[in-house]
Amino acid sequence: MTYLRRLPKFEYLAPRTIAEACDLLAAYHDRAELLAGGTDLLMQMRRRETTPAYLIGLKGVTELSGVRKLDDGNVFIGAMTTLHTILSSPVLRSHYDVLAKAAAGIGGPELRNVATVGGNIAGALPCADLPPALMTLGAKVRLASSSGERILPLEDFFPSFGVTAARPDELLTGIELPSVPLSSGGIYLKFHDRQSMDMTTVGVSAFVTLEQDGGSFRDVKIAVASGAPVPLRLRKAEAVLRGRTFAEEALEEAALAVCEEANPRSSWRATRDYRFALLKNLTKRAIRGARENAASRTGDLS
Amino acid sequence: MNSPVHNTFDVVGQPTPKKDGIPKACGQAEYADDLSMPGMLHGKLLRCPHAHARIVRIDTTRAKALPGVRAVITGADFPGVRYGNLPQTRDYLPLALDVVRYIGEEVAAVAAVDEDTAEEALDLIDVE
Amino acid sequence: MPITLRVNGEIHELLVPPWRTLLEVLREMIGLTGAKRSCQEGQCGACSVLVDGKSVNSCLYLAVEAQDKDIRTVEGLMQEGVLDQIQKSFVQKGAIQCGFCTPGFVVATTSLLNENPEPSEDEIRHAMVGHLCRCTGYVQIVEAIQDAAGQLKQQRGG
Repeated sequence: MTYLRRLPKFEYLAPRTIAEACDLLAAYHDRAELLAGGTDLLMQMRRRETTPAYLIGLKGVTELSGVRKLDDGNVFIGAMTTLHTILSSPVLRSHYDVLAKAAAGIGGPELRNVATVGGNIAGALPCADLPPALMTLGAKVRLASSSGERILPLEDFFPSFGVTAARPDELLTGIELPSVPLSSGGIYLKFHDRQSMDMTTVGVSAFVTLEQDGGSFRDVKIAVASGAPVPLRLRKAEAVLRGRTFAEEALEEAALAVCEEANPRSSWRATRDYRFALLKNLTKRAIRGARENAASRTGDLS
Repeated sequence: MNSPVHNTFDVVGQPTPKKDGIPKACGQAEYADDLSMPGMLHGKLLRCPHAHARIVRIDTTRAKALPGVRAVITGADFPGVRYGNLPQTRDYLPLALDVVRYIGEEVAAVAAVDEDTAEEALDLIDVE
Repeated sequence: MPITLRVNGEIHELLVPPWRTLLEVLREMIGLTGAKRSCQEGQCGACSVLVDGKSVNSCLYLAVEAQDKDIRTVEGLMQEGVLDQIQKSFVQKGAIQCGFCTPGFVVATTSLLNENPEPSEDEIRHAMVGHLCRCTGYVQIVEAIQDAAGQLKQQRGG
């Protein structure tokens, strides 16, 4: 029985730059939490699951927000970019629309106006929708601290349930996406009870790159939400399809490979067996859908 | 029916917008939680997290000692008082006495000068 | 912490602890009770207000983070005592029963029509997923929003 109380007491720290935020983290990390959009952390605090003495509020660090094209053709998304900005960004909608669509399926408008991509990743929830979509796009995370910066592939960012690979004094500053190859396309299929506002029961993201002939896969990336204790990239299934011609048997094999690698749990939302069934079907549908999206992208993608 | 002489009626067939539609649409309508009066106290209820349990004892001394708390009551303060005017609710107790029978059953109540204090006082009530 | 909030065009200088949500400050310190305290978890939308023109759940927004923003509540949508079109449509189309969800819906509709002045029924329903109504069954609410959109279009001369 949870009666949702008022927030517990805390002190609020308001950095204005990434450097300030890193200094605060270095000094307070054992007694502080980072506050991004707040739609998850404030709820945890209401339920008294966490009661930090300090909140480091990131809404004032404007350099953490925004979608930017980098000189090398990659795209950088600041960690504090809201889901609304992501789903409406022209750059993301045209070339990375699996991400824009995944963002559009989270919660409702009120939530998307404050929730951030950084929060969706750093929260390390297995049901988070953006990590699978980002993994299939080959995303890397940028981490900053007072001792410097480092970059990690997103699939290496979730060592175990509820934990990220960031050090306690590190701040997730954003996501880097490589430019998309020609003839590529992706899709994110989110299965949940209602049509909106629900946590994901199982979500499958697929991103494929087709050969010139359009019939076989040059590259395949598959990742799942709520298919394991962490957002997971399914390399076995990818290996089944890479280099192969698109056919129903290939999809069947890939679906079975997904079930070997995935490790869903039983919860009140769904049993483990039901989740396996969902994974099989959603994987097949996702590959088909991604292939259709890839096939419809002809011509220059710059 | 014969063809009507009047084509328009004053009441029949005319739209009747709600009398309180305008205040509600403008946020002016006052609901219970919107009311506020000077000097008013705020009440909070302590609810049981167990589906079925025996109350051994309740210690409210720490809660009563919190500055700003005006009253803390438990079922023991008015034993035997039952409320409920329907046959099936006749035996209901306002606050649980010896046994709690559902998650969320009210066990104690606090009245304090503001909500934060009232919530803090709930944390200070020890229920065994 | 001392903060300054701009609500419905008026400046309020307040002394507010950091753990106060925007909803609590609006209702308990400024006295604007249009936004309602309801689920406290961002599911029902009864607490919605506009922050820089976008509908947000004020129960999950810290007051101290609302500084330097333009905040508009349902009370601020009227102009000099005249109901705005959205409010009129809600009243006339039977979209209000107990009225508890109405401020939230009106705020969300304002945000929707600012971004998308001629939404389809599907788009309206999608825009309102963050709002729950216990009384109406949503049909008249959708009609009210369609009516408001149509009336506003006419008023623009469209």
